Amino acid sequence: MSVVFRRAVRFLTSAVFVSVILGFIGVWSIVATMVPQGDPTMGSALAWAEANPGIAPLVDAVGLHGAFDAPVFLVAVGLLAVSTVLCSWQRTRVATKRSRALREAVKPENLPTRVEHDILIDCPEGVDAPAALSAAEQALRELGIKTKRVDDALVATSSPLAPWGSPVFHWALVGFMAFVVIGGLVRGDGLIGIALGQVKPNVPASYGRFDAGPWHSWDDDGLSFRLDDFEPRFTAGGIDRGPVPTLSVLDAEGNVLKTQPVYPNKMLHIGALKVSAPAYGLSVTLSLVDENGTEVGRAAQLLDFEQSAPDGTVPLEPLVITDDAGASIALVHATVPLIAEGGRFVEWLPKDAPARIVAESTDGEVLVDELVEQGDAVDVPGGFQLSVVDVGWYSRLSVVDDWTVPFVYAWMILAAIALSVTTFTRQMYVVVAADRGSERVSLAMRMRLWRHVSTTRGEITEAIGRALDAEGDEVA
Amino acid sequence: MTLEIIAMWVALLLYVVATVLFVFGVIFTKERLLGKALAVTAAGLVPQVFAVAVRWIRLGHGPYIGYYELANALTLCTVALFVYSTWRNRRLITTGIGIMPVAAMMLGAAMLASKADFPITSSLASYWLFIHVVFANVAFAALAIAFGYALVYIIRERSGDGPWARRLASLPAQEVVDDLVGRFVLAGFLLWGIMIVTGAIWANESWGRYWSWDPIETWSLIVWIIYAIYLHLRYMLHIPGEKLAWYAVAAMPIALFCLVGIPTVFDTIHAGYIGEMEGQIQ
Repeated sequence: MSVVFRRAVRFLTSAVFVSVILGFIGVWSIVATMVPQGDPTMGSALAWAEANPGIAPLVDAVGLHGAFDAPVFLVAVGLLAVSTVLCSWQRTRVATKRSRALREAVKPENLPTRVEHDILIDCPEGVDAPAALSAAEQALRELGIKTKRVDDALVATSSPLAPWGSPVFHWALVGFMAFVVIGGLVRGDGLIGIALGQVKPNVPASYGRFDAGPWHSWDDDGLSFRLDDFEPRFTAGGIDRGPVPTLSVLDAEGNVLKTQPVYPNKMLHIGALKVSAPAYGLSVTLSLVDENGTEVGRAAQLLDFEQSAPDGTVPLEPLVITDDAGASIALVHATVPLIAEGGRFVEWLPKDAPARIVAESTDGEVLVDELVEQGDAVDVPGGFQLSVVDVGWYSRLSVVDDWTVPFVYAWMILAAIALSVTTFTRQMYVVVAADRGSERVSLAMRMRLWRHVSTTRGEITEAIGRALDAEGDEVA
Repeated sequence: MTLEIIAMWVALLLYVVATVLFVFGVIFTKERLLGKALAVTAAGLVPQVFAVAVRWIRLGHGPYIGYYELANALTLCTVALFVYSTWRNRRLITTGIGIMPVAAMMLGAAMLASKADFPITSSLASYWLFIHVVFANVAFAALAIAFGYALVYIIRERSGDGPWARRLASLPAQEVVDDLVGRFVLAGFLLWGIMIVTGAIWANESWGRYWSWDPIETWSLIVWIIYAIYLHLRYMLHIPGEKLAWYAVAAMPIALFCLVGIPTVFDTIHAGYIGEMEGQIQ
């Protein structure tokens, strides 16, 4: 078992395996950018399949239309993650050894001697220890190695932290990948349509669409969103920010926790929630009055701009009029006819805009279809009157709930710092000690040149030997 | 023709002259000619920096939007890094034969592109734009320098003891050039990674999602992976120098394509940076 495990570890940590798996992910990603992503039954994917009948079945079979959720891709990323964990562990062991070696190398008791050394150079007669060390110092400097003098020795050593760049980088990648996965499990994001002046609680029922990972939980935070203002043309910092809502977040008691305009690059942050306003449209506030003149219901119908629609606007969902027993009587669709210019609707709120009220029976028969001015009413089935209270703006808020984001940032930043250490620091030590143990002075050297060193062992030996006019005698 | 455009043409002319001087200096092994080539290259930076500054002041933003500005900034960083690295190590001067033709062609392409003024739009108005673009430019510059060094390495390696080996004899030993290619790739890999990280943070602050597999994002990851493979081949598998040099030469155009080519080929939410999405001031 242990043999199998060891072989598996060796395989997963081999540079060939890592390169192949990285290559596969790279090639897969390249192909993925050339294939429409999304539902294969959607328009662009179908058109692509028609244009490429030869490879379309294969693309479909391997899941390239959803390339980054496809099992093939996820398995490759999973293998890369496992490999990265194992490589990180291996690199940690190497870094521990190197770091210890760097600390030990400069201790007085570990200085190289005539007996224990990597390289020994006997100096010519007449050269004393200070002169020999000065010559060696100069030779090393010319090779790009700066040394410092410690008693009768020259020492050039990188920081014991330098070897940690690579393992920390790889561990940071592991942490990053782990938190991306956790983020996918706990993240929730959805869209809320909210009309001007409206307050909507942060609960599932408020969301028109909500995508949540399996571990996402709806903590009862008691928060609500209120659309305080909507500026069709908002300028900040001298830049036109487009249509911008001003949003407030309220706590359970209705206290305002935060208010701000929300526009690109200025999201509203509160706790783990991030709120942006990617779209907007119109809203029609409708009031339902019974035959006694009592208001029995009030709702804001939200409309999106739609060039292909007859009026240029379409309601997100119909309002349902029910009887006392709760049975549906009619469906109401309100739209706002837009002004058309040059064959296109102007996606803007017309001045004193009337609303078109269309009421349908539950089997689709049109019962009412009238243009209603703001403040006016129209008779609808069930003996009710439906009045148009006002026509205004609505803002579609995108709310993201993901507490893992700061951790993802932290891992990315740690990876960047660690990679900087790997990139810009040397991993080496060179220790040269003068040994006066015999009639002639000798330079005993010990060195390890692991990474980013400007020279080689051979060059060092040759350069110091040349500087002293002596021959180096390297000992393995 | 404005002062800015005149300055840009002067810079281009100087880079072309520098390229010619590098070619002749190397072919005829004229050390003085190479020195003049480096001086002309450095001189070219002056009008280019001037042109960028004039435009920056006039528009109120750096060279971030449109092919003209992008190619201009990429060239500026590449040439500046080449001049700096050669100033630090004079023996690398002959690598200009590999780097300056690329710089001259990129600036030539910039001069052929539309020079329309693009305003900073709401979606681009963030301090992350500066950080993100600076890292993109410097990362590309490092990878372009690696490309030039690798090209010179290959020429000398394939020449053996032939004429090109003699022409490039003033370079450091092949092992040192090979090591420099690796170091610049590593630096480019780091900076490219920081570009991706800053872009992801910006995307999250702007769109509420740090990664959306948009073609630009995907290709930037692809380039990072390509160079990650290079680093594994180099530091783990110790692949011989010439093969890796070819790899570095082949990888750089992919990085360039990622930075300036993607919006012309793919639909991308990043199209704003080439001025396609929002209005332009003519």
